Amino acid sequence: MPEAWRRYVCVVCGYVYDEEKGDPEHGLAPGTRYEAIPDDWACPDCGVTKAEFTLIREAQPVAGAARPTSSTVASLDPRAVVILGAGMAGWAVAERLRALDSRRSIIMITRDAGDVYHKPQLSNAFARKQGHSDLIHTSGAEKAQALGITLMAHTRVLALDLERRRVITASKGVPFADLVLATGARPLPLPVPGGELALAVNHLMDHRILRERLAELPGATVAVIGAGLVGCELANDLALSGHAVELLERESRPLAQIMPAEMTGQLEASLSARGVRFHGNASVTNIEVAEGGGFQVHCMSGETIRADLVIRALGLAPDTSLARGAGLATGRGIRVDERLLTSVPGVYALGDGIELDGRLRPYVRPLLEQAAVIAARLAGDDARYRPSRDQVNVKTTSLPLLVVPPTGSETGVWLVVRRDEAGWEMHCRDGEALIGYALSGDKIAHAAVLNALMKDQATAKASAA
Amino acid sequence: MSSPQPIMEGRPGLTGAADAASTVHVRDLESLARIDLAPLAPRIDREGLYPEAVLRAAGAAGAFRYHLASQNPAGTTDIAAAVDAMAVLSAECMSTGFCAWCQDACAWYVENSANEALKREVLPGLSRGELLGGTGLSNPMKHFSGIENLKLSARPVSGGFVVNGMLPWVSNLGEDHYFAAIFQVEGGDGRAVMALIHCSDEGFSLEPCKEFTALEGTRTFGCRFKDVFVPEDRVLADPVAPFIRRIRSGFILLQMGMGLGVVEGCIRDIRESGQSLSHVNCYLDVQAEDLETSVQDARAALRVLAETPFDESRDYFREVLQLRLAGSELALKASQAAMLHAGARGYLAHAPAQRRLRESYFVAIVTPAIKHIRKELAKLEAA
Repeated sequence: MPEAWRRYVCVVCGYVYDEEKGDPEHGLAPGTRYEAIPDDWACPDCGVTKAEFTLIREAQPVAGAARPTSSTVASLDPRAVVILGAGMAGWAVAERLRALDSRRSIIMITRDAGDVYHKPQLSNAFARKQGHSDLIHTSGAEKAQALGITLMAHTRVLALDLERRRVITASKGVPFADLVLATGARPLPLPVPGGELALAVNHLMDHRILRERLAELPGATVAVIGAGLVGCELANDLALSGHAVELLERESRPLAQIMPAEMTGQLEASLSARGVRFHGNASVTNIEVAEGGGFQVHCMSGETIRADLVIRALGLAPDTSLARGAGLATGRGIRVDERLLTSVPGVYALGDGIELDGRLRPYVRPLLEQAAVIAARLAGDDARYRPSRDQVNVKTTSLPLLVVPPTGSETGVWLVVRRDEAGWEMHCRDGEALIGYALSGDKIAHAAVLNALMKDQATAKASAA
Repeated sequence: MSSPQPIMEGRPGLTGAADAASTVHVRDLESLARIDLAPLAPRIDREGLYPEAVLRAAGAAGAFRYHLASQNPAGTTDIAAAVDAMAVLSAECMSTGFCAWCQDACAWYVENSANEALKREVLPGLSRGELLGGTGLSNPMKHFSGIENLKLSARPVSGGFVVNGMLPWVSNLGEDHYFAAIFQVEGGDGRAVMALIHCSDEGFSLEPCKEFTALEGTRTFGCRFKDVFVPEDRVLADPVAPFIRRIRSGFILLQMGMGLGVVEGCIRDIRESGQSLSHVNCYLDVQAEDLETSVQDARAALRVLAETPFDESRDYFREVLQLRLAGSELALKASQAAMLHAGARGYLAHAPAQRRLRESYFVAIVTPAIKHIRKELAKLEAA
């Protein structure tokens, strides 16, 4: 076997003679060994002879040579916590972590400007006459500065390279030690012809678009498809701000998923008094652009509803594409355990995007509790997330509602406990046990008492066990 | 090993430089770049040697058709693969990589046009490097960003347009080359039209440019139109605005082949310097591994963005620009690092490091230049 090619360096100028390449321009064919180089050959760069050349033995970097931080090359801290998403969940983690650890590098990456706003306000903004800028509590840049974090705004995460522990964006790769997915959920599409004509309102920018569209259509009729929490709130808000609202729901009544029937009857009546026309059992088959402007929403029943603008409020589905693409375990949401860790160490998730024990955990209160757990863990505590019961506030100002629905595994009976002009109180009981309740109007004030009662029950049950 | 067959005789460059690259061989692209192209790089860079034979051989090796679904065996629009091929050339000689981009862009326009005749008669040749071509879209791209006015105007006449004006600095041209140009139609609705021009069209002339500090061999000319009749069957888009929205992301993503190639060349140079100098080079800020990490990141981003080149959304275009900006900044960073790692040797007139330094500045200033991208991004982010 021939000896490996060697490389010789000119000690005068640093020219490298590679035996494999030779120096054909000066008569040394590729493959000319150092020994075979004639004595009259001269270094092509400085003219010395081959005697001035020494064999290159691979040099070794100096161990521990400190590389000073460069002022011109911005490098990111590989020990950073990187938070993906600047919705309520992302900011909640940043805030709580900063409160526990004043020095840890925190980088937040968001597709939008990162402006801080309270998302539930989006479905009450018109009646409160809140404009786009009124909804923003603090700009993303200001908030980031206040917390001492790096905000990468207007930056979409294209992929996660969990092996190299880098977040891939179009601008740069971002190294992380710990990663927090606060990537939220997307509005469910309306999967019928013309379904894309219906706007969704799940983000500050969606709301701005809605506002701009409505500004061009004073006194417009708005069709809202889906009478869940957001659909009812939007219908209420639009009606209060002077629009005729057609509220379409596949079920026979609004809020059918979470509310007892008696209570939703009351909601329907109060919405109707504000000018919302409720259409139950209305399965949309297609949406068409109407001649002369506006839209026609066709239902399976044969009914056609005309509207100047159509909104869809069909609920949310966790945005799992990034997590799935990176190989994280996902089901309906990004799977996490009670430490809020995904299937990969050091990668956490919270908020509308997660699935814990087979259940999604939406709403504001859980995400705040989850943010506290993640922040505590990142600060070194072995914190665990123990979900409290869902509590849904329906901010339909015509008739505010609050419901604590029984969890999926529980079955109970709804009973009206009190009712008068000002509101209702209903309990859901399994035998003696209170497993849920629903309140409306002034009865919402009783929530604290009922919560305490349910907590006592749980404590008693735990000590009995 | 059987001896490779010569496939193509080169032609004398219009700039008059003798063409030593008259014969190259059928090889895979990597070997073509390393064996045939690398030794010519300094002369292409400074002496105006046009790497025509290498370009034709690269075309024969399939380098110019990955992004042309109608022309490649896979039937896919694989911009990432086109970038990889361009990077292989650019790592040895970015002038050649730039010519490859011109060629890719020219074919990209034809591929995405509705002109079936050009697709039939010109596109296959462009995709195989049998026909060569350039792109005169720098001025229009700046025009659409509100930076410049269109420099060509056209008078509609029976069967086509009569075009007048002057485009500075269009590359990869020659007497038998094609290129795409956009002109403002006089009167009427003031629309712009895009068409394929042949350099031998009557009234059209190539004018030599002043000497550049690099990329002398890219056959860059001023393009003078004096009553050039452009027949309707050469029109690529009329009106041009929706067409530009469709092709612009691909146009920009393809340019990543230049930047990534320069960076990869720098990484090789840094490693080579390190063989004798790592005991001192280790004190430098930017090391080969840092650049390698950044290249991996940029390629990962490119792979995702290259999946949807026809996405016309604002967000997607913003990301395309962000990546292109990152490519420019990375090339500048890498070439500076390569210089510092090479030391005084990098300052020799034929050293790769100083050539890459000048090449990297080209990546940063060719349309869309860093300042142009920043202007666009500011606009997109304010919206």
